[in-house]
Amino acid sequence: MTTPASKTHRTIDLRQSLGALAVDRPDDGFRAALHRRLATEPAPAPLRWSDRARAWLRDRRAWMWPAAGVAAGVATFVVLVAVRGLPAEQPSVAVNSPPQLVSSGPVLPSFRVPSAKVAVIKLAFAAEVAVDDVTFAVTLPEGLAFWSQGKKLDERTFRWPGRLEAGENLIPIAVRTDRPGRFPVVATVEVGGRVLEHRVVLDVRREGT
Amino acid sequence: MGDISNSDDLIRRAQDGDVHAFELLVEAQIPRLRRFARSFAHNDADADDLAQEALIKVYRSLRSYRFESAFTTWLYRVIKNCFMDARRAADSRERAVESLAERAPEQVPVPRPDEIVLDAEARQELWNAIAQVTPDFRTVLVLCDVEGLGIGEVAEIEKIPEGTVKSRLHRGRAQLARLLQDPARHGNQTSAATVLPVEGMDIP
Repeated sequence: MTTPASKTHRTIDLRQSLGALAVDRPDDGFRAALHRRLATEPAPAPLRWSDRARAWLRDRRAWMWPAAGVAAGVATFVVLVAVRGLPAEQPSVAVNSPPQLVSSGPVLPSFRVPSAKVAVIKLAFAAEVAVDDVTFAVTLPEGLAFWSQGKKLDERTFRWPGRLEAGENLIPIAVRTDRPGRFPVVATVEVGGRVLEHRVVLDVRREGT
Repeated sequence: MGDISNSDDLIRRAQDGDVHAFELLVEAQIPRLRRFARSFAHNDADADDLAQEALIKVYRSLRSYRFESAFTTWLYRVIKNCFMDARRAADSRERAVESLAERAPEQVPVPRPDEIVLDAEARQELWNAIAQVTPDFRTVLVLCDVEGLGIGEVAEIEKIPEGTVKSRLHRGRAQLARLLQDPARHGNQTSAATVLPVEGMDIP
């Protein structure tokens, strides 16, 4: 039987064994071979702009979203779409059912944001029960672009399958535009053939106006 | 870890293509890097090839070092990524990786964990067992227990919290102890180790 004391003893001995591996091996031509290979290498290439941008974003990935949210200030808003008590037995055949507006919470019709800054839209889909197999979609109008990995994306609509957890499901979407204007944003979630849709208007203004 | 914090000039020269400066820069780390490589290779010769390949990649990517961390921290981070990439590539090329499990246990002179390993053969077997530890645990295990780096240093290299380093170290030791006690039963750890967590889908 292994007693705690013997286990501790074995752990210490294992560490001693590992420590005993820290022996410098003979060079065996390692440095000479390395030198020969290095001598044929061109000088380290300067980083491309895209690599620099990627590195910058990678280093800041953990706090990029919240920071963008803070920087955007009033640009951050919340769309609340409530999925209420979807019965499990509900047939999912109403493919052509018209979009049904279901919304609740402090949804404002218009949100003022500064131009030339990334604005983070936090879509908060609230569900009373967990729902599998839903499809989210966000459509932007001409002039407003999705923003990801430091780049503007060309797509106008993104659709992706997902799952709603019971409670609030926050999905941040980063968008950006360089010109002022009013941009309607359409966010939908398809659940069992029903389309829950919400529209908000992004009022983009030049800073200071 | 060797203190080369005052070697900014060497780094800049190396970044400009001065091979000699680069060699001076990594000289003190070479024995450690060769050992570190050994935990990702089947034998000493493979480890040396791997270490050389990694050092060449370090040289090529020197410009991405931006003096934001200690050079050695950055160096180990790049080296570790090279080793992991090489390991994954090797695993995908050939699934039949030599492992302790593929040999009859009675043919494997595995050192008992409560023995201090000194002879070369036992050392090779211990390295082979280490090579089967899950890569994330293995890295922490080698850097901490073989190379004697501190928890904080390893946390910086791995970019993970110190608590995670401690947890990985504990689990790595436990996995290694099991491998040494019963190599056949745990010999398939290599394939499991190649299953890496996939980052979440990019939000559009």
